[in-house]
Amino acid sequence: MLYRYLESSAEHRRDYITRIPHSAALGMDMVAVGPGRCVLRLPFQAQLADSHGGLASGAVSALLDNAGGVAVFCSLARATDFSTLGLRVEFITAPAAGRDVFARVECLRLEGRQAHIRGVADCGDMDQPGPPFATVSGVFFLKPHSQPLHDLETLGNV
Amino acid sequence: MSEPVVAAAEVLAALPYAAYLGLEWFADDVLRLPFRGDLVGNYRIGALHGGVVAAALECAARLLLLRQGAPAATTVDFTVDYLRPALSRAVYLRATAVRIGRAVATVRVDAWQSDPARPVAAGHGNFLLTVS
Repeated sequence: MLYRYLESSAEHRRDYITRIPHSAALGMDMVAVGPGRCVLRLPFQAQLADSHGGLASGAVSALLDNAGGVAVFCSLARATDFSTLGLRVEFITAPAAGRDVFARVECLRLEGRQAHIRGVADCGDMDQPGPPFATVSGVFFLKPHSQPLHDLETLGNV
Repeated sequence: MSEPVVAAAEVLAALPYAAYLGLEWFADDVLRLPFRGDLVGNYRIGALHGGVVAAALECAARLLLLRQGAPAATTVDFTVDYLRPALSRAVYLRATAVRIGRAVATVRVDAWQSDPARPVAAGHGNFLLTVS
């Protein structure tokens, strides 16, 4: 599965983010991946903060959308293009003031052209999740006839 | 729906993330998100990042509430349907208040590019208005 490509090297994880201009602009960081799941971090920065001092809910939505995409990628057997069809984010609270946000998202199932994701956002640490302050669920749509954004075919069966 | 009570320019300043995205007023009830290279998600087709679309829709909803004089609005939930890829040109957004209650407001947002009849995304969300 494709997650092994990301799991095998920090450079691959960085490169995945760099290829997505907005994710690179926000400074997203792919912390960890596994089969059909991932952890992404959005470092705190004042220009993305809301009036309460934490990261803006819009920035959290962008992180969760991106993490959903990585989770789908991590459940694919071969590089396939896909895009978000629907995304729902629920905020339990706002993210803590001045803190990085972690998105921990998994792809529950990939069936036909649909991939369904679930996950949470928290202000914990790299490997110690904090209490979730937001939840996400979404559907991604696979587009087998268009060229994938992350084209790994040259790498063969990773 | 009641007339806006707060000036358009004033509410944009109250939402720094909207300013970061580059949202601006196009008409009294329409926002414009000018295209910028760092908002792209798929560079192959030059499409905006899905997160940018979600964030712009949510900002449009909160800006509407700010203009209606509800300064403490925080997002409880927000749902986005992606209808077409948002390509490398400006996005226009119009938010409509479904209901503004005492504690909760429900807002719907439509987004399009060249033709309002061909929306690129639709969003709806619930917002908490009470100060905790």
